[in-house]
Amino acid sequence: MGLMKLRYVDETFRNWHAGMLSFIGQRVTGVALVLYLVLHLFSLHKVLCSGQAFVDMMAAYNTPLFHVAEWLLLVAVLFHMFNGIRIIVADWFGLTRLQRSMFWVAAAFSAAVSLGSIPYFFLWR
Amino acid sequence: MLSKSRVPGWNWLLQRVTAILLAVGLLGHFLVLHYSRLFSKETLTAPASTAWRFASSPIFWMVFDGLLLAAGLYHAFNGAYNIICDYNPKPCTRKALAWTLWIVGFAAFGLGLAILGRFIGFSLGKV
Repeated sequence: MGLMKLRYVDETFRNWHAGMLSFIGQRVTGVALVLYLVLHLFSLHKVLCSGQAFVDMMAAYNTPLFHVAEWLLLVAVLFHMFNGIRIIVADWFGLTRLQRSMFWVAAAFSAAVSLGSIPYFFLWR
Repeated sequence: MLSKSRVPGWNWLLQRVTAILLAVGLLGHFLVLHYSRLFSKETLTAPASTAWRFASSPIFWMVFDGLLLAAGLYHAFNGAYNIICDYNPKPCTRKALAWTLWIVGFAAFGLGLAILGRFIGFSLGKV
């Protein structure tokens, strides 16, 4: 139970409701996406070395492991986007009372698009 | 300082504005980079797809990519700043962090523009 000693993990399980899931999801995907943006710029910089270095780098990412990573990236982007839209809508249109149901709508949209994209990522590429 | 904290800060508003820009812009970025066959007859991959884009309408794509880069970096770095400030760092730490993130952010923006410039160079056949 070492993981439960982390305050975030403990608090998430103690407060298992839409607001907490939204908060923790937005934070975890947010941090992941900042790290991805840095990696994205870092790998694209190869084009400044030479066109061939860029093509080689693109080929190195074309492996099953990175295809799974790309799909997880899409899941993170979708959740962060749909949940972010929920936060903006609740905030700007005074719909805080609907935030719980809007969270499940956002989660459903993310899940639907994520699952719908699986064939595109793994079968028809 | 109480009156100041009651006013929603610029960074709060800009986080929302860049969020909306990114929601729209990333969809375009994703479609144009991975589903170029929707827009052109053949399936193109980078740098050829980028070259094709910039050859078709250079001003539009320069503004699109530049704006997306700026919005993404602002949203990412301001988000990271907000998360770290959630743990109540000392005012001097906040200040140092803000300066560091602005400097790193501008450096990353410069790097992104240089990469974009190189891609445009490909479209002009200069590289």
